Amino acid sequence: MKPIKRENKKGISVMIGYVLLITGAIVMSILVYQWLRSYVPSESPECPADVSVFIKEHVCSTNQLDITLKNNGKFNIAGYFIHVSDQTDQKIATTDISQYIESGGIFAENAVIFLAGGNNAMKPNDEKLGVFGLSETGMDNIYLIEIIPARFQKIENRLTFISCGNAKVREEVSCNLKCSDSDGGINTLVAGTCTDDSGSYADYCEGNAQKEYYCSPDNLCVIDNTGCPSQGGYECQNGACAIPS
Amino acid sequence: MRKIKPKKKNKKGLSPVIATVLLIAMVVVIALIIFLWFKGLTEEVITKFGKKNIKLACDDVKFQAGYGGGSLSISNTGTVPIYSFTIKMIKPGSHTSDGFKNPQQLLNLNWPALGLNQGEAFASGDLSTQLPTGTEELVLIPVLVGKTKKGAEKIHTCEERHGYKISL
Repeated sequence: MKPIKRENKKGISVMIGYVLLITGAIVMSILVYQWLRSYVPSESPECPADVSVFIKEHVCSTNQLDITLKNNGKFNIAGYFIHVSDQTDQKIATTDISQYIESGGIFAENAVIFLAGGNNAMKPNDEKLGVFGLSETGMDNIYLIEIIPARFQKIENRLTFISCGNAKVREEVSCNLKCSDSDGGINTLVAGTCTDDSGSYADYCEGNAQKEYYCSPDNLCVIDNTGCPSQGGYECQNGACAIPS
Repeated sequence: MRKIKPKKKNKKGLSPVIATVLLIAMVVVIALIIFLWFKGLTEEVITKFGKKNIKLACDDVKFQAGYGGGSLSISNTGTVPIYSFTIKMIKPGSHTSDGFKNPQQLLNLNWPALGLNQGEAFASGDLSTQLPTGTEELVLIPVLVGKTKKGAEKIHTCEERHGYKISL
């Protein structure tokens, strides 16, 4: 008669083996994750693609630049970075004038912000006028204006001021900051006012001779004595040449 | 009739427990050894913005640059602060690279101490006398600063593919 074979009681050891294996695998995966965590690409702060602004109008006067900005995008904007250039051959504007904002915003975060408190105050189709007093910059002319809109966005539950570099606008201009003439230069048919660092000078009549003020190449208001056109019966009236009715 | 001798019970009650403890200890020790060995092989991780590897941050760097009238202009149009630049100057048949970290040495001007933040711009002085004769191209490669796990600041130069090429 064959002896009864006793059962090999290894049930518990196998269970422990499985537990050990699983535990080891989990521990190894946690270690590898900790090391590789920094390589996981995370969402970088970026503006939505449909953020867009353009410079609707710019007005240069003596030591002052007025810019009307229009939001033609689909998202609200909190403010903008603004740089200008006084060099004709400079391809990128690098002089930051945001600190010279006098009205139409406040200077914060190295930019012009429309409203304090983390608000994206400029809605789509809104227009904002920014007035910059540039007497302290020492610039005589502006040839290039570049504006980068910016907005506040929530990133990881924190309100962050983000630059929208993809929506940068660039406009080549010809601005004379030291001398401005409201009638555009030597224009005898329009009574204008010339303004330079020493004051404002209005075109006037001396008898029938029209005295036209204009900006010289030295950025000074000087008089042109050409007078009214000799043909056509022009007379000087109120600083401008006109045909009497 | 054969007498069936009862087989003596194998008293191994304690051994499986000891074996289990030994197994767990072995797994932990081996895992630790492998981890420390692996850690020694890899370079120190530098992160930007707290958790993102600085190499990945290079992909997010955006800037524009131009050269005109002998002056280099740079505008940071992205959201990643650029600490510095390495400038690669290329002329036919050769190239040299120069760091931009101490601009006074190369460009004789005031580079912002903390680098170029988002929205900021920079213009150099006259570079024309500083560049090697015959230089046809400049490649501006951004240099970022990040933090190690211990909190120390470390500089990382991005790869050339993140650079900006300017033709002179």
